[in-house]
Amino acid sequence: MKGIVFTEFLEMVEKEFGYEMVDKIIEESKLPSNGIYTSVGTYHHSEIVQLLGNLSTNSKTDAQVLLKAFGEYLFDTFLKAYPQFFDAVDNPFDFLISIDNHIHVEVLKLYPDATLPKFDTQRLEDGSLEMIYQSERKMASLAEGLIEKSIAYYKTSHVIEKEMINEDGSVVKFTIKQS
Amino acid sequence: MDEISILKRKLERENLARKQAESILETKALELYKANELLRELNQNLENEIAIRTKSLVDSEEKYRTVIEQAKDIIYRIDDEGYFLFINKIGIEKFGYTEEEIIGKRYIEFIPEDDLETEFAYYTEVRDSEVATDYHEFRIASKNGQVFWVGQNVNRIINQDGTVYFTAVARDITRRKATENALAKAKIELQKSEIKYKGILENMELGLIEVDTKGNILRVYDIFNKMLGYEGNELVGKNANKTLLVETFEEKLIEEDIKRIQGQTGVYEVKLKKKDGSEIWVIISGAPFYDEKGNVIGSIGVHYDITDRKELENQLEISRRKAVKAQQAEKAFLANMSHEIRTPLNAIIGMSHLLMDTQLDEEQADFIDTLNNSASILKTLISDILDISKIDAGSLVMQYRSFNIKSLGEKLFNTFKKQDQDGKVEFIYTCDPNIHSSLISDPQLINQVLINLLGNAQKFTNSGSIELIINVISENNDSAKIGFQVKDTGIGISKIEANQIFQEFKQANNEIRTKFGGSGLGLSISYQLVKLLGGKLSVSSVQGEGSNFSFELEMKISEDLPRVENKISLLNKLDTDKNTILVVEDNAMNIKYITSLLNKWKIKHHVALNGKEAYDLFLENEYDLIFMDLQMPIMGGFEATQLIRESKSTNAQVPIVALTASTFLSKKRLALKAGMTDFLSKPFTPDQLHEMIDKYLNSSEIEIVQEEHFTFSNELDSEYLKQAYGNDSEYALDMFETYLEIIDDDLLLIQDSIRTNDLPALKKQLHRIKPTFTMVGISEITKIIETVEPTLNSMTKTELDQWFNEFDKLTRSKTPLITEEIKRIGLWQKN
Repeated sequence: MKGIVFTEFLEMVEKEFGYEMVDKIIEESKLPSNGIYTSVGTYHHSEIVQLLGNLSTNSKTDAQVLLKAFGEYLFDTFLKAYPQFFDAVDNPFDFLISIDNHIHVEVLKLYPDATLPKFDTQRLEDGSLEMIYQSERKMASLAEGLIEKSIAYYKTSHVIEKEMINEDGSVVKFTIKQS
Repeated sequence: MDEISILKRKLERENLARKQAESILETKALELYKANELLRELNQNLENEIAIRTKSLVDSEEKYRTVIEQAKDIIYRIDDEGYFLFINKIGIEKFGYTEEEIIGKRYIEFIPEDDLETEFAYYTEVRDSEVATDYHEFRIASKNGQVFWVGQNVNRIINQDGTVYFTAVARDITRRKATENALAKAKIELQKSEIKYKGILENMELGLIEVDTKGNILRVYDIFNKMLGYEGNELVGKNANKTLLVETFEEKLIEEDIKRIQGQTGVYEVKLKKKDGSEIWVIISGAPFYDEKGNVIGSIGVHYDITDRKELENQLEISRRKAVKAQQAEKAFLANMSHEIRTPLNAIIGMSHLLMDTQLDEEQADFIDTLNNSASILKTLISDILDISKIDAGSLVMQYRSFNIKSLGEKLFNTFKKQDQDGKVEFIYTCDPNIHSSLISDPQLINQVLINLLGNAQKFTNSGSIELIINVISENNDSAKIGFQVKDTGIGISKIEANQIFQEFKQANNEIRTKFGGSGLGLSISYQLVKLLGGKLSVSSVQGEGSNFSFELEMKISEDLPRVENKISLLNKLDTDKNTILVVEDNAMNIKYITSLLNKWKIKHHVALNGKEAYDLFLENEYDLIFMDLQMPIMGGFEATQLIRESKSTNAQVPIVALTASTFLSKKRLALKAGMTDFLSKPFTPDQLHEMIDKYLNSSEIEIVQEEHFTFSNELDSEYLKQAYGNDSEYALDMFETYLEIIDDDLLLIQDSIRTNDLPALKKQLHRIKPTFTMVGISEITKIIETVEPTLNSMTKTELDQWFNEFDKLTRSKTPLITEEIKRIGLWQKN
């Protein structure tokens, strides 16, 4: 997993819970990297799972909620770092479709070793967009947060329906509808 | 938790994270550097590659440019509007313009004005149809006005930017075109001449067809179609012989076809079937024709319709047959007339001779003399006419023998001298003293010619002389050339007349006819006879002074002495009591003439009025000699003779002498064939009759007188032959030769009768031929015929065939004997 995810996650934890919490979850987790991350590095994804688990325990907050909040936080980071992706389109659907078709293609050019989730999109007849998330990392909530923030960014009144295709959360269907 | 220790850890983490990041960046930078290095290297390589490629491109361009420049063909490039972009050196040379004058100009400017329209159309079509390549031949006008032909291969090329241009390679084909044009011209000429000749042929009404070697029709010309009622190509592919030929001519055509294959031409006439089934006659001229290798591949037949001509020919043939028949009728008439005239004439001459022997006063004697002279003239006239018909018919046979020419002339001359009683004309006979005493020719004919010439001279000479000159012109060991001249001092003839007098019925002029009379045949006959003897009778004459008729004859010199003509009358020696003669004659006057003579000579005789009576008398009496007329009522002389010869009588071989008015050799031959012994031609003088009697009634006497007579071979029936011919070897020779002449034909006739199963004809033939064998001494064959004759009716065809085969073989096996005998007789005669 790319180092930016870890640095952004720990930054969000420091902002919301103070560095004490950051220090705490690092210390509590058994991390091969010893919790030392740089955004240009690459680390094993089990480290984020441990960090998230320890944060959930220490903050007494559901891990999925934390993950969704992390998605929302990450959106702003992306928007700041790569504004060209967001300016190229003017609505959430086109943007969401472009993730798999365009953004991830560009990411892989820059980081050939990156493991990215897959988003299959399909415009439905009723005007909604179906988006199926597939990843062994089972971090659909992070995606949900990102989707939600996208809708907010393009200032439309879409709502998100979430349906687990696989119980383990490796495949999740999002349906983005006009409210 | 200790805040300071947390911060410491935070700081430491951030330091470590920075170092980690720096290290990563260092690595990435290094990677980047290496990647850059690689790129630079790559770039360098690419540049080198480009340089190399560029150079090779330049090289190859140079190469192509050289090729293009040095090419013998014109190479140029034009854009799709037809403007010149490039042209090579040879192109510039050919066009005759400078490069600058060509580049940028449109192709149209180099096309001759006459071709502009065609070439513009061609160019437009090629451009619009977007064909990739095309070949085209057209003309180009060079700057100096010369026009030349090029054959152009053009390629359509599309640039990367989509623009189109054409590259073309063109070759000067002016020479080839010239050849082509010449060929085309020649072809047109050929066609013209073909049309011309076709036209001629059409006008000539000649039907042409061409057939292959199997006779199948390849081509038919209009006239041929018209000739046979066909149209168009109806006949093509059909077999000419099967379709067109009238069957009876197939064999002829096969013969011709073989000739054609052998490369021979031929002209022949056949009948062809028309489409409607009718037939026409055509004359075909066929000639083979050949392929390039000289093999016969068929023949061409030129047909000309000769149906009309054939029709005419048929009519002509019918007319010719009619004419021949008429001619035959004329001959028969002539022959008959000779018989009819000669018979009473014979009586007149005979009677006048008898009258001479009676007591006459002077006046009566004079009358008789005149009567006799007139009859003689009439006889000569008839003889002349008969001579001419004999000569015309070619039936006059030369009888060569040795004779004394000097005495012949002498005798003749004396006769004429005697006749001249006035004494006004002097007769002179001159004979070369050196002349050979024995020469070979036909003395009788020479005699006749000289009689004619002397008679002629006498007729036209009133005073002066008539001269007969016989001299030797040249002589060698074997032969002599003898010249004869009859000169007179008579009226003579003009030169123009001289040219005509040898023609039949032509006398010098009409005046002669009225003044001198005569048939006008004498000189013509003489001329013809001299010709037959191998000479040429000619005349030189001066009118009013006389004529000189002359001819020369080449004669063989004979080694033996001429036969002395035995004129000594043996009458005194006749045993008149012992001998009896039978005279068979239907003409009362002739009977009277002959019997009067016989009475005068005191010879016992009987008379029969026809063959039947003669035979009856023959059976009752033993005759020593029979005189037999040929044409008689009830039964003719031939049949009577046959009956006598076939009779069982011991006297069956009695000599029978034919009496006939006919002087034709054929009659004589017939008589001999019929078994008659000799021949006496009417009218005959008492002397001739007497001679004949001497010949047959005194054989025993003569035998004694002439001991050295010819001895016949013992292989033949010598006893009989001796009896039959006595000392007359000439007669025997004649008979033997006659046998050889007739036997082949007779055998063929017999064979033919057996083949056609014509029994009556066979009987007649066997009957007739039977005595012939006896006459040449092979009487055993006569006996064979005698044996078979009674059984003929009961014989089968096979038996007849078998019999004939043996008979034929036996008869032919005797031929060498006869030939040998002829040789022997000849030798004997010489010695």
